[in-house]
Amino acid sequence: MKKLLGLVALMFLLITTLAITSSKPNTMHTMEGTWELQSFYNYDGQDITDTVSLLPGYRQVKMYYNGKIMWSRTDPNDTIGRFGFGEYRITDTELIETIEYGDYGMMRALQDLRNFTFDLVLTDSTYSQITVDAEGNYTFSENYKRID
Amino acid sequence: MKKLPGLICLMFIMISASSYNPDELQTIPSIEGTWELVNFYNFDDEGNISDTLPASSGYRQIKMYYNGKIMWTRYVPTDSVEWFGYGSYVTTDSTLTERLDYMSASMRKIANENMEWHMELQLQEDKYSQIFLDPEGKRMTSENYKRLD
Repeated sequence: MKKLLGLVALMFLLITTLAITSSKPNTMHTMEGTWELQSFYNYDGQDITDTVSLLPGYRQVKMYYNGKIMWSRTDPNDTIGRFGFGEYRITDTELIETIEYGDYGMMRALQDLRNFTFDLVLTDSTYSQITVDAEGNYTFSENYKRID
Repeated sequence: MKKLPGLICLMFIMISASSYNPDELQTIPSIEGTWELVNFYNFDDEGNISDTLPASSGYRQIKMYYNGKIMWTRYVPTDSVEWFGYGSYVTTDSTLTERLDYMSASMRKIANENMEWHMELQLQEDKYSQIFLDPEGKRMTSENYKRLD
């Protein structure tokens, strides 16, 4: 009977290990999901100098899924909405978006500029996309919270 | 010792069962993903397709569904009137319900007061149709999408 107990214990261990490995969640943070803008930061090149909060009713949401990005904005003080659609990829430190189409105003403003590279600070429940100037200085960021 | 082979068998079955489950889940088509409008159908009184209308050229309408959230946008190259919406969705085998949180100004003018749309859903792996029904439940028109991702 001693063998039996040992065997049962071993099997139990096996099953537990298997259960843990097969249901193992992604341990890397992922961009996939739906995110809502919470605030903006201004930078002095490196550090945050200023936090700008959103006016009531202003909502900007971005959805990232399987390489596609879509975003839209509603602002009660502006009858013109904003939106865009395209593709994205991320590295450890960067978010790269390529816009395929957007609202009329943006399409006119963009002309050939369709690629946006931001510095990316990503956690499970928040992310910031930081605009970097040509010299590599931080200028401005949009800060999002996961809402799904 | 007779119990032992039986126990081993049982353990084996348990292990096999736990490693099979994840695959089975993926065989049901899911609306999660990115979809682009291809064309529209009109329906006759019997609920059959009477007419197919292509999307205008240059015009793009894309919807993203993920984890209960839906966003759609429409790009019309020659028009500054904007069309987009964002909200949540629920699907069943045959229905799609979208409830928008916000939408473009132009869309607000024609939207239901509760900003909710209840539609018939025909979903396959790589295409789906959302069919608009009249108050009696008769099919009127549909938007037909293909999967982009």
